[in-house]
Amino acid sequence: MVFLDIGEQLLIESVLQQCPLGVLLLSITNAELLWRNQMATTLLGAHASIGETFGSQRQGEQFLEQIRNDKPFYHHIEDGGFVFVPQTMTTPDGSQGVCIVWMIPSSSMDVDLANLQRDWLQQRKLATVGQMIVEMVHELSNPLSSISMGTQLIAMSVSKLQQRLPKEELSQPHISQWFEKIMRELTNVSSAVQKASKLREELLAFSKPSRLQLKPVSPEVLIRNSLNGFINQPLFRRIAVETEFAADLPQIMCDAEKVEQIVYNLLKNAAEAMEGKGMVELRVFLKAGMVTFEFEDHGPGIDDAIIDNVFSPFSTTKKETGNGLGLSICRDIIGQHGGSFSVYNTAKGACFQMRLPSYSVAREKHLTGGAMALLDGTMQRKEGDEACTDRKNDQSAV
Amino acid sequence: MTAQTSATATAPAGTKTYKLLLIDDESSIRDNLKEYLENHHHVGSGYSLSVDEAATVAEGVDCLKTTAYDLVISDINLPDSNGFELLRQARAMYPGIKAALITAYDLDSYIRMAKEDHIYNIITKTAPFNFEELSRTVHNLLFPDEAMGLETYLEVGASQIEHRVMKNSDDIMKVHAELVAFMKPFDLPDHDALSVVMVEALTNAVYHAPRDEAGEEKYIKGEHIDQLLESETVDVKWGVDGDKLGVSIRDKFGAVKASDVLFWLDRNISGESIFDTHGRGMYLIHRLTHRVIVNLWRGKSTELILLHYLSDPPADNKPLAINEF
Repeated sequence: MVFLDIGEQLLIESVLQQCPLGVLLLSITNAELLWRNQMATTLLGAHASIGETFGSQRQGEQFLEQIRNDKPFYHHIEDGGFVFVPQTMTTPDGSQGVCIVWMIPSSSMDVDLANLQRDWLQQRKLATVGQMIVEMVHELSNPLSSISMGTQLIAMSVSKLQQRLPKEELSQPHISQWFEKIMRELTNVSSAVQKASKLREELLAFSKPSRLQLKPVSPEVLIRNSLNGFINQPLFRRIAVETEFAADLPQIMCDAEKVEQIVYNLLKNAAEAMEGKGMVELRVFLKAGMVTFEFEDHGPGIDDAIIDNVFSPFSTTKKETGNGLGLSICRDIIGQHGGSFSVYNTAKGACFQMRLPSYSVAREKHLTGGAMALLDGTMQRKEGDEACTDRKNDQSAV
Repeated sequence: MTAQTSATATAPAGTKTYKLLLIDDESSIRDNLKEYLENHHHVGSGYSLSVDEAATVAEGVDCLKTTAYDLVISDINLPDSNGFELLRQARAMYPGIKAALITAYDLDSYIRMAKEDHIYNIITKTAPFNFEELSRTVHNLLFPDEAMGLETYLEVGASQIEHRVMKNSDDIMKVHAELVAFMKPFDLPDHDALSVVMVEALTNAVYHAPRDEAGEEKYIKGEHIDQLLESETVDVKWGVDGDKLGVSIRDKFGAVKASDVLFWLDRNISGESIFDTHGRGMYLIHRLTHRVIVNLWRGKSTELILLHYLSDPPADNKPLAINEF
């Protein structure tokens, strides 16, 4: 940097490193990347190497122009889009200078900076509230235990009394009714506590870092359960799902609940692509030890321009309706199972292919039970990626 | 809160009374457990229990200084320390004292500590609380030799208990097929998972139990065994009662130690087992079955009891129940 002494430089560098936005420093003469902070490195990865022209040669010139305009501009990079906010500083004669570029993740040019800040604070607040709730829910365990145990003990004592009373007394209507009523109320309280306890367990499970609950499942049962969730929804009333299962399909070792959600998600995507009317072909067969699920719709297929990005977290192909899992999450989950997830266009429409190892394959790879559920993210992703490199020629596997 | 000594529970003259120390910082939970143990404990007869309470580790230690308890049951999370620490001190004072821990939280988080401290029984606070299990655990701790046998865990009047003996490696799949057929009519949602559990349990018993003179495993997993020696055969039993089915698998060696079981569970929970399969079977069995009781009659017999509820499955938080004697 030309203008500052080394002390000031280091101070500013340290501040910028901690900035949650990506920060780039570009030369205004040739868009050479002079410096970037940690966040920018994370966001841009291979697209920004120090000492090289930012972006490709062609893009570098484009950038230069936009930078010199000193106005915010929108740019789409592989994994998402950003609004770049340049701030140029030049020598008095304008011949040399640098441009600080702030990268704000956004899906479009419409970045309301005031809203952005408010959203940011709101997120931090929710995270804190979330933590508080989890702690409170933890604390609920003792009171719930007390209520439950107390109720059970009352029931035991009442029962004992009932056994000890002489028959003549017990048979009197108001006495026998009393016992009936008491036991019924106690049962009600017990059920209610059980419900509260289950809710508590669910919330705690949800707030834990995601752990797969693996067990052997038959592919047919998995699909059947997913389709059941699908059938009653209005969106799918005029969607036909034609299933074809190969004979003798082995069991798969998977988190059934999560995989069923993924299947549901894929069917929902297909239904939306076909605008509520059409056919989805669902084929399940065994190939190279992997149980392969193919979801082929009769829709318009996926635009070539975006097919490479369809699994990225920033994908903007359609508005997120919030109910479905993002496709990137689906891919992550399948990857954690040691499987693969890919998409390609066919003559009929789009085809999503999900492959999961059969139980016996999973065993061989020592990916069963606890070992698999507890592998940390990096190891699992490696497995998933390896499986993903097995591509067909005309597919775009991610 | 000061420690309280209880009034002696009403016991018929001449029956033995066992002294139990109960530590939990929640007074209502202490009340409930004490009430149950003194007045409703019914597994095993001919004795009664008398319960002293404490609310903290310090109070618990004070109680221990004055009384020689037969059994200590302590909550894990205590205001001044934790149940593991308390049990360490109790064992320092009374080396043979029987002990169990209770927790409201996930068992998995404590397996490593249980392994390191040699704690083999951890009761989980579920809602509803399983008093039957508590009663059974207390009795098994006081009389571990009475922990064995499938009949112990199925209600009186249960269906006939089937009994088979595995005499060679082919019998593994034969017995497995019978077990699958037995489970089928119950239409359990976990049927497939249980099927896997059975394979693991049956296979391990046949291959891992038999030892040679040096004490090493005699057979290699997977190799065909034409005929097991009489002392190497494995007894398998199964049956069903009003609310659960039960399977027991029992060998004649008793080579497994309680510390082995915890070692296997721990390494699979922590993920260390990723590069090998050591202990994976036991972990899967524990993970997928509703209740597992491991009975270790050292030098005589190792028995695995698997219990699975037919409907209304118990809460996910499973207890640890290993009886070694």
